[in-house]
Amino acid sequence: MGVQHRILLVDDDPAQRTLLNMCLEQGDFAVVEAGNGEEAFRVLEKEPEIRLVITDLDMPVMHGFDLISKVRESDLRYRYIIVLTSSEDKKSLVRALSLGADDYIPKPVRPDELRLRVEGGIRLLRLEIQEELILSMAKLAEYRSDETGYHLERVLFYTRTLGRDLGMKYPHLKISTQLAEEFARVSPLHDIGKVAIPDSILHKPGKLTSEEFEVMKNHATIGGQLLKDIFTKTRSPYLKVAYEAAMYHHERYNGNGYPEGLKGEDIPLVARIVALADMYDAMTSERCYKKAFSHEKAKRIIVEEKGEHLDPKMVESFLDKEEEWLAIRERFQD
Amino acid sequence: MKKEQAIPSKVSRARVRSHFRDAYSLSGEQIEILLKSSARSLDTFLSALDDVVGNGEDLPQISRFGHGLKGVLLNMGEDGWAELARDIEYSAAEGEKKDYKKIVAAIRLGVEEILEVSDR
Repeated sequence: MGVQHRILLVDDDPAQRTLLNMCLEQGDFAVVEAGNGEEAFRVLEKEPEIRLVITDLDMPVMHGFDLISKVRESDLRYRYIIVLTSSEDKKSLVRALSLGADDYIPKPVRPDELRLRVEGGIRLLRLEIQEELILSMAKLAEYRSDETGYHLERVLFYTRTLGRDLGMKYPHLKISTQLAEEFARVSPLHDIGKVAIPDSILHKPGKLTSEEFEVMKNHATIGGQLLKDIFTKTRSPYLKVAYEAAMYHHERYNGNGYPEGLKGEDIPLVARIVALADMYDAMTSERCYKKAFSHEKAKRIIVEEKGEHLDPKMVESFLDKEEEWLAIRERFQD
Repeated sequence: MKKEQAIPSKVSRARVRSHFRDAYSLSGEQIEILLKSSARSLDTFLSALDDVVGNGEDLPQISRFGHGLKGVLLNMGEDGWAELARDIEYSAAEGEKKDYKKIVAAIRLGVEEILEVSDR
């Protein structure tokens, strides 16, 4: 039996809602109605499982533009938003899309077009679920290693902070808000290759021998290759970025890292970002082989590694946004 | 000078029912529900327009209600009447002074057979 998708339909005109409701029910969608943006937002707060919203723009109490902004500000899980607009009102359409709407349906609505656009939205949401499954694999890898607690969450937030700041400071890096978000979302996958490392090495309470370290180093290529294989099959850009993070996060800016000894800007950007996020978290967390360093000690080491292990731009951003890093560390304590 | 728009033929329930059936593949029961719902919306927008056109000509409000009225008429397949509502919407949005009362009255007369379905 298929799962019936629930759709929130927002329009101040009851006749328009009745018509759309009838068209959507033909496509086996369950519809929840709201007469304005404020009512719609209350429904979404009460029913977080509703992931697809179809909204008119010109409504009393809360305009469709405000609803789109509010949904995007509060999104914990992505919601697909389709706006209803007349085909001649391009200005409103562009504004709605720039505020975060995903698609539009021209009025008067054609039932077949409506259903096809809704199905397109559902396909996109399904892809997100696939991404969540992949992130669950990262969680599994984390459970096996010693990096319990909130390691992945902290690395994700550090990565997001770095990405956004670098995007603003260095326009030539072309890190849009969306790309910074993508970097953050793939960051939990950086150590996924650790699932293939034997327990005796992964959980060794002391320093690794050089042979053991060689085995440990394999986690980068194992994780990288795994993600590259999935990327080859799916061509998902998300997985390409994930592959770069997993494969190259142990490269060093001076060329002395592994697995390929890439140097400077040859190291993929996401890997340079995740390298610092992971390094800071590793230093400031307790591990089976060491106690947690203080923030000050970690900061000293990071500054020393500027241009050596770490990209100088990353270090500068870390220093500028130090308070944000501390707040993330505070928020996600193990 | 802008050309006076032609007044379309009066809307009949049979024509609207037929449009609902053909355009949206609705059942007989759904058609009656939608017809009633459309009648109520027409009545709401026309009454709102009556209020604003006779009360100091609040052009942004006239434009808004004209927009709503246009939507209902388009859904009913009444493109000609929707064009008159569109004229109200766009002219008012552009701040144009014209005899909106006359256009609203013409639309009300044109859709009177549908308005009879409304239980208001």
